[in-house]
Amino acid sequence: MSHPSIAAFERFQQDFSRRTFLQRSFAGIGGMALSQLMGTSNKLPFLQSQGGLHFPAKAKRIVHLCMAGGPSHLESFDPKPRLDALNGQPFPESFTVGQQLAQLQGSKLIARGSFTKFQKWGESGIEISELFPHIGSIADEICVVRSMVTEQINHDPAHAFMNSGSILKGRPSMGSWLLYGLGAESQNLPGYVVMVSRGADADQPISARQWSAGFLPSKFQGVQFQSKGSAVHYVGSPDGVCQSTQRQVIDEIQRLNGALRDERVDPEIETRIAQYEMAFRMQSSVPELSDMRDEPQHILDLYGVKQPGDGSFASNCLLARRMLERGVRFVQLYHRGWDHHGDIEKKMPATAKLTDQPPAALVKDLKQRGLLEDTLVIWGGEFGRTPMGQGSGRDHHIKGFSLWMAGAGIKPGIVHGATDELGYAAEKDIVHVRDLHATLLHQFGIDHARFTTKFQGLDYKLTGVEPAKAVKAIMA
Amino acid sequence: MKWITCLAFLAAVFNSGCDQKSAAADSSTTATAIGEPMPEHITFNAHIRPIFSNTCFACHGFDAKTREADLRLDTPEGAYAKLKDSEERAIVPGKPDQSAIIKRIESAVPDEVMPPQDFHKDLTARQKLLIREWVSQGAKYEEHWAFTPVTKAPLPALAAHAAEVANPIDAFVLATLEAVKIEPSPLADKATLLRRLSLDLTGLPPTREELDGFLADPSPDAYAKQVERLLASPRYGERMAVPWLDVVRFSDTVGYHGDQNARIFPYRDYVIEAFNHNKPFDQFTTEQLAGDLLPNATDEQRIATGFLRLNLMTREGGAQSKEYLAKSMGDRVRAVGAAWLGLTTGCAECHDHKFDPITAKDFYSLGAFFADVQQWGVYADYQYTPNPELAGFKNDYPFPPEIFSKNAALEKRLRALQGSAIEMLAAVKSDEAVSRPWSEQSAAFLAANPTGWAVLAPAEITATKGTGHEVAPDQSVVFSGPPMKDEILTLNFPLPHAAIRAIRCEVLPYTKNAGKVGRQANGKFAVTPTFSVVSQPVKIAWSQADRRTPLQYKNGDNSPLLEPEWHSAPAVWEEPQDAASLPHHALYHLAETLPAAEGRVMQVNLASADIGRVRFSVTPFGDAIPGQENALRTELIDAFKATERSESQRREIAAASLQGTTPDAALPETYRAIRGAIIACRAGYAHSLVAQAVPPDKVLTTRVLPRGAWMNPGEEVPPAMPGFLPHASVRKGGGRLSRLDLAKWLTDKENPLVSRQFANRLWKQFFGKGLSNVLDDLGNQGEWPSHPQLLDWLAVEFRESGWDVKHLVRLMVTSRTYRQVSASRADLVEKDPANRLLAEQSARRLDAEFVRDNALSIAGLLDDEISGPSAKPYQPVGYYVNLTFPERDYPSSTGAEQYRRGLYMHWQRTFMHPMLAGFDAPSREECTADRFQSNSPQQALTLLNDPSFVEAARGFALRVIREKPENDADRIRHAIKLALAREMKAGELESLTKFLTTQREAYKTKPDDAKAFLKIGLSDPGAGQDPAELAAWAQLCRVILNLHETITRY
Repeated sequence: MSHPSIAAFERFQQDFSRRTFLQRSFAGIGGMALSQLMGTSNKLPFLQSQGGLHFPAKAKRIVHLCMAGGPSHLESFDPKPRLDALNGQPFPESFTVGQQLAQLQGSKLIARGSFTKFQKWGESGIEISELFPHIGSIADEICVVRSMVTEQINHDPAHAFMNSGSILKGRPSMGSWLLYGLGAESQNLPGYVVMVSRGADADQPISARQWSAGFLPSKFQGVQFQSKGSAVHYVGSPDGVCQSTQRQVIDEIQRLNGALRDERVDPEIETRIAQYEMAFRMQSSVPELSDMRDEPQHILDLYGVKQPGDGSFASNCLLARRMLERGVRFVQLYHRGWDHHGDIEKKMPATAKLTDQPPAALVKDLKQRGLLEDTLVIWGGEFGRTPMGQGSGRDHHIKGFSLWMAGAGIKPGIVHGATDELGYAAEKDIVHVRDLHATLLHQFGIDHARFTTKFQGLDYKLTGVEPAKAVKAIMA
Repeated sequence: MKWITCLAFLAAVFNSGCDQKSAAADSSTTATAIGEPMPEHITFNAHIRPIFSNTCFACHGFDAKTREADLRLDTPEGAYAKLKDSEERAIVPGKPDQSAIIKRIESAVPDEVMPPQDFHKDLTARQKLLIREWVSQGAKYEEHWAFTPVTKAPLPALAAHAAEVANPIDAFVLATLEAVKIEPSPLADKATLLRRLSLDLTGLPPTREELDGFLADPSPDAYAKQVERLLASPRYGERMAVPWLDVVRFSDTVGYHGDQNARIFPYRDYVIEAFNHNKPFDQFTTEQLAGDLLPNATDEQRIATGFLRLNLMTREGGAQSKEYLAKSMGDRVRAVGAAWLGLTTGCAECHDHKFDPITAKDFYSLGAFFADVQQWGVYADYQYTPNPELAGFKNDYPFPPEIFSKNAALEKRLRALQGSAIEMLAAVKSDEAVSRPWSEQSAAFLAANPTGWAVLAPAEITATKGTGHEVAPDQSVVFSGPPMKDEILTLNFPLPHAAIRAIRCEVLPYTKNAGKVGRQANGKFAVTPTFSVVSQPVKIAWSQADRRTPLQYKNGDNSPLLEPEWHSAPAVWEEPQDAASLPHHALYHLAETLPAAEGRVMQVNLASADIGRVRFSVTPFGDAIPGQENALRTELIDAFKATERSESQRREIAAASLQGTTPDAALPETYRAIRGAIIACRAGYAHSLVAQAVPPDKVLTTRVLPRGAWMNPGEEVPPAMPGFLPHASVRKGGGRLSRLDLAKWLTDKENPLVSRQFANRLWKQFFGKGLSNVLDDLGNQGEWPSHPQLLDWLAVEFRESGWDVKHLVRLMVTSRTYRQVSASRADLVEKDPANRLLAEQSARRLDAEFVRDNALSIAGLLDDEISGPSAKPYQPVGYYVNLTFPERDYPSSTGAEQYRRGLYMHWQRTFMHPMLAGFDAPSREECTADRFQSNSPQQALTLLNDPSFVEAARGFALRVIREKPENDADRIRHAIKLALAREMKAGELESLTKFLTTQREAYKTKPDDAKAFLKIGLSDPGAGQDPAELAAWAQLCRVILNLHETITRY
């Protein structure tokens, strides 16, 4: 009975038919789409439809504190006395020959020692620079990775690589991957939220592509909360439309859409109806989230928030905690201001001052609320900076840099990996960006190798086609 | 386990495919029951290739470097051969039990089973059985369908539905339906059909008049007439352009880092025009890939090469030229793969393709075709990436090379704006009698000077540094000799007895100056002119030139106004390169008109070391455009000439008198705004990024980059076609292959991919899914088509028709298959949920741009201008705050430009307009052959609260109130008809009436709310209307614009 052109769809039909059946059984027509809304429901996100998580999950949510521009590891988490000793002398060519450099290409390379002092913190005794005393105060809660490497030496592609595991555009960001795989926990808020803060200086641009869903449906894209106007685009009703009017408008839309649903055989209508409900809920839950008047003074002081909602990194960190509490799956905070090609001795302390206390407060606050155990915190840039000086600063550097993580089953109070004696190249327990992605997914209970989606004929992964491994050594 | 029974039935019979890309994306091989009927005859292409490609080829396929155990399963030679270190063979045709692969795939032993467990691609029981059966039946290999020659199969015979065949498409579709015993659906009603057809062909809903006309047309060819009307509509080209702009990744910005603006809108106009004029697809192909290489290439053909400039570009400090040149090359190869071949070539940038026989060498050989394109890895001159040719190119600069040429859209806009300006002034003053003296003087002036320009004859010429000069018969003054530093040239001109509103300066090429406009070695000049009359300086309000080199840029563009110092064209890296041989015109508009007087002399001082031949003219008219022959519009010339002036001619003259006599600063603000827009039209010229071929000795060397690593280049490769595709038509000898050869090969009869790919994507536009529904990949990992013979039939038809796109479109939309009802068959939900068999039409949400167009059209706000510069609809404040190098502002468009169609929206790659992003438009950083159709709360928030849609609701309400003043019921009926092109349903009237009553009462008690609501947007706020009433109707219109049905094409 089967026609040759029909019976050919083996690859697609079995899986699809099964899901078609499942969605009707559990969620009614359109239930599949319904379940994959950002935050609408946990019913059938991709991984659950595929038989569930691969491992028990340690993390339920994540906050990525992205230090955009590339902080110097040599003045933050990676002390290098040998480099300090070499200060001002030619940098040994054996380290750099044949390597890609950015702005230093073709220049005479001179070693630049750290301008900061390091000290040992907490019981763990992790060495952290004096620029980060608050992060020092949580040394026993964090895992410092000193052996990060990436592949892209310019900001734009390096951010893309850190976020999507690919330098090609149009690939999904890690936040979109997580939403696609896991769905969101919140019924009323986007599952993936992004905020951007900056210091005094104009700095490197940040592209919305960094939180793009790429080739995944747009509902998985990061939603940027604005520092001015409506927190989320179009989340405020128009002028002259009060909440009850807005509700009546939506009710009427729903009524007429309901009539259409009864006439048509079109599952999208049911989904549309659900989306209008979600939209209306977001219209009240977003302002509620952003209204920090209920935060006590000691909490504001803990984060160093001067004016709640002022768009500062401190305020964003506090807002991030509120989001995480409310079930936002992925919060990503960018802080621009780390691209210290020049004047690093003045500019880096200024940027560090803005970004030291708030994340320490966030870790402490999450801990005291019992959220740290299943919230993954990551602090780090898209790359590091050269141990060679560039005038009064340092150039981009991809062969070795540092970041730290906390919470969600990451071993606290440890240092993982090391760079060479001059802080040039990671040489011990190297953690590639792909390994970071694999680790992150692992903490969410996902095997990166089995978490794929079809794109251009490939089983496409966040970790790409090159080998990647979850870093077991840093898992508790 | 009822569902298994159900599944067995489905799996055996229906090609569910996937209703969304996301569904396709997560297909995997889940174990299912094997008790499903097996196909009688198992074929490699239909059944086995999809399994092998997905689960075997990565290690046993084309890429020799990753091949395991020296076994390849993609060729019969490989599969039938003896295994390495073994007497066994992977496949022994007809003998599954002697075939090693059967043993391995059926094995339960972890170390033995194939695919290996850690590959995470387990075979289903059914797949194993299919492979076993295929081996039993002889294990016959077939070439991949999309790489085989395209041929037309005979039309299938039909048993029961022969009478329902409108054209061959139906024969194929109905044959499949008969085979699986599913009845096709009846035809949709006429109203639904016209809305569907209008939205599909033009992206706009039918107007009420169009709908009424069609409904009232009983002729048998009524539908065919509508098809022809819509195919002939200029809106057709706009609609057709959108998928092409996606696939070539057209945008207004460069993408990397600072994501600066790039001037390239004329390329979009080219695409729209190409579809509207039904440019044959082979010509369309050649012009985009190699327009600049065609003999006597026209401006249009050069603009078409903008395709080659749509790759991402960077100006980031620290970026390495070689790295970014490699990225650009890869970008272009992927683009040709995506736009023409329908193949994912990207994998081969690092290694031989795993699934298709495309090698890394093929990839770089294709890339070599573009090595002659003038390009830079980094578009700036930094110390660490020196590009001395781009010295001075800061972040505000454009991205060369560009062409500077006449732009039909801007010229048209210019004329329309001039008309609006006159209308505006006529509203101030329309009585010609009042301006009788002016009118008579002007008529006399015009009689003596038919162009409206009086050429001035020089009486005295001095040169402080002694530059040689003479007066030519045409009254031009010719300066010659070498450039003279600090030269001040003084020219005295007796003035005619006439008022003077503007001065024209022409700088003309001259044989004595090597045929150039200036006396520099490169033929250029710079001049700062000043004017005085009877020793009184003449104040200039503003000036503009048609050709020049701007002194500065902002956000990639330059001011349309002329600086005090005029530098001649061409600018650096600008086409035409011989601009110094072309006449230059500047217009100096006086702050105040000089009244007519006897015996005056105008003194012109030209501070210029190197100007060539100049000629000055004056005019009393106030509407001149630099470079145009006449100083006044044809309408005005006609008005003056008319012996019996019509009402409009009298108005014209009255308005022109205001233009000619009012001091510039005293002109009405509204008029000055329009004039600002006229000046912004740059005399009808525009820049556009183009490909410029470099001389043979500058062609970049292309080398294979193993693993894509630009620092370790491998062997050098010349341009060549991918070896695995037929290429007998390609010339042998005669030197290096060029982009022209590539274009010719793509549309040669032997190319199996291009015609298939185009027909397949076009099909998606009208039926919701491709016949092979992995639209970006016809290769091994793509999909075996639902109707392979139909796809090939269409592909051949396309080619044989002379690549006639409209012919292919017409075939599709006039088929019976297209005209069926949609979303109405509950029986198909189970049998064919993705509607791949086309027993009905598919419902589809409108794409982002058309969601906007539809709302604006319903509201009566849509601007009908075609082509032209990108527009900036309202956007949340501060949206570009994270864009730097340079910092970006976003002044939203005013006037009609605010209401332009979605495809004209400014496309910022890194920060797409939230409305576009929310409705799944791609960022166009990479080529996109297929868009998602997601359904999200963001979309609801946009339709509810984005000011563009809120304003549209008010416009819609005003329209309904004004067009149907009778009563609520009529108005609601009218609104439904405008928005949905159908009659109102009883339930809708009842529900919406109740809703309206509630809103009326609410807004009556809250007049401030009503007023606040009506202030949103720049368009007519409805002055004179009762604010509460209008606000209440606007809420009703918001409801209608938000309906699922409104944004869905059924």
